[in-house]
Amino acid sequence: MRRRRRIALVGCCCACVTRATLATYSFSESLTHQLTKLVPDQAPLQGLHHTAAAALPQLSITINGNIPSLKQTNWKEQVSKRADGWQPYEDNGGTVVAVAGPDFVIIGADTRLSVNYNILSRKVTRIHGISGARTFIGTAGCWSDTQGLLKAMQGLVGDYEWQQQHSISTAALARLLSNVLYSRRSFPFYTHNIVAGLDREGAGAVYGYDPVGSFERVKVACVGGGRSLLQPIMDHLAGDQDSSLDRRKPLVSVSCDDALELVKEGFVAAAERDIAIGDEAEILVIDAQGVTRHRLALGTH
Amino acid sequence: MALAFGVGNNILDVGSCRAKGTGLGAEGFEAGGEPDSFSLPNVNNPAEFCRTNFKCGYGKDNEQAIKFAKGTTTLAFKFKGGIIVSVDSRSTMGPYIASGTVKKVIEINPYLLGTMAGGAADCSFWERNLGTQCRMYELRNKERISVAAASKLLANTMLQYRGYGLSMGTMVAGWDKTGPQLYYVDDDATRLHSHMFSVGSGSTYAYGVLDTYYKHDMTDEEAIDLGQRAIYHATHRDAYSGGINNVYLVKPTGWIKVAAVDVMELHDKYAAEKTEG
Repeated sequence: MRRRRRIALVGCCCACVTRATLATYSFSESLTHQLTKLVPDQAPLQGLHHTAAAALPQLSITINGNIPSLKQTNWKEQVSKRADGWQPYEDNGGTVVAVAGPDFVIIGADTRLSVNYNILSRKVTRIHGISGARTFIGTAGCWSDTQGLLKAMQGLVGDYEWQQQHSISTAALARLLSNVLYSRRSFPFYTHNIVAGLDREGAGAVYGYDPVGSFERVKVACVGGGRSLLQPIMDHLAGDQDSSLDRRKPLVSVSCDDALELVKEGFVAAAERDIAIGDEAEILVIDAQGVTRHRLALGTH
Repeated sequence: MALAFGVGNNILDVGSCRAKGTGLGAEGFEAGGEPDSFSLPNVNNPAEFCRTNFKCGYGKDNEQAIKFAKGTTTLAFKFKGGIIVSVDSRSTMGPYIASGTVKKVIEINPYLLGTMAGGAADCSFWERNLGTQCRMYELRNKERISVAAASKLLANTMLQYRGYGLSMGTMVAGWDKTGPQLYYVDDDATRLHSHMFSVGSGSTYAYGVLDTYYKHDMTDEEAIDLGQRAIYHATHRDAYSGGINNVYLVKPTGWIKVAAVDVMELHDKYAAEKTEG
């Protein structure tokens, strides 16, 4: 069914024509061009370019003045026939750490965005404030899934705050995130999340998640690539696990400054031993007075 | 409310592929698309894709990008004084211990308990969903739901999602007007009724201890001790189990939490007994 057709000059830019002679790359370049034409107000779909080039067998499609309908190609059939299947995920690295104290909460993340051995950016922010309230979601893992997840969360939180006429509490946001993650149980967001904020009594609340929404309120949480390096250091901060029967909140008993020092030292140590951690660590301290941002240089190697 | 992702004529369009859930499935919110449905990957056989690429089993997800939190030993048994439910608290993602303080007994309502074994997110989500359904039953019928009915609701939900790779092995325990009841419900909708179950990677170790020392005629203290010992032995030998042993006792008035002891403390206690005795 797929015949090789030549790309016509009309309606194409010169760059497309010259590239058309290289059989292997012609489809992906023209596809990107077509997609940017279809959705001109979006940023160039760099991520999609890589996926398209990798995911689809080599095809040429004609333009002939018409924009080809993407429905002509049966994506499901293409994907099902590939030997290695469909690989929609990419691990873009990142490590997020959070500590809950009696009247503060600290959340920090590195700012390096990488894929395999390449660095895509040294300045991404992995800690996102949700609405105007002082609750933050820190996310590590696939960057495109992070953006999709946050878009969903911001929309839902906006709905909640409009309906309820007050800002969403940390506990409610934590539960909402869990449900959003589970809604994608059969096609998960490849994200490792932490929610950090103050609870209704002003104590620190930190929730750690798995990719499909299992969550738990903890004293310290580490997620992402560097968690095996950082979690043992943070466990030392947390002390022994509570095994008493009464339902006390999980909070560390050190001061905010000591906890912050340990988080900083943790990032410096982790950056020395993990190639995906580096550039900068962005650390937020949230307490009754407000949110303070600290930036810690980690070296660009 | 239309969202930017997952909508449109796009290779990554997941909007064209939907699984209709039960009415209370996706809690009515619209992340990823319509309410009351779960988005599916846009392939010919989504169930097979989920089963092969999002495996939840022990050791099976080591090579996967996405690892799920799981791992456990849970047990429950009926005796003359009620039901003992005893669990560990370790959660593993691949070989990494994600948490040592997971609450594996889910308090569905003041007289019904559910346990968590298998995928942590699956268990906590569907048991919370069960709690919603139990409450709706109470409001509609002006009486508490029976344990048999509650476990049946859960089993029916699992039947609907059979083949999608959910992983859940849970016990539903409670005291209703027929007395103390204990059911086991599985992710392939198996539902069994008996006086003793143990579920999870460490269940075989727990069964050894339970089967040897169980009698129907025990005092509450003896039953609690048996529950603790069984979990201790499972955590001692199973790498995927550990942490804190939480023990609940179900009585006619509802459940009470009776013990929360670190298994290392139990180790020291039983070691001391051996040298004394």
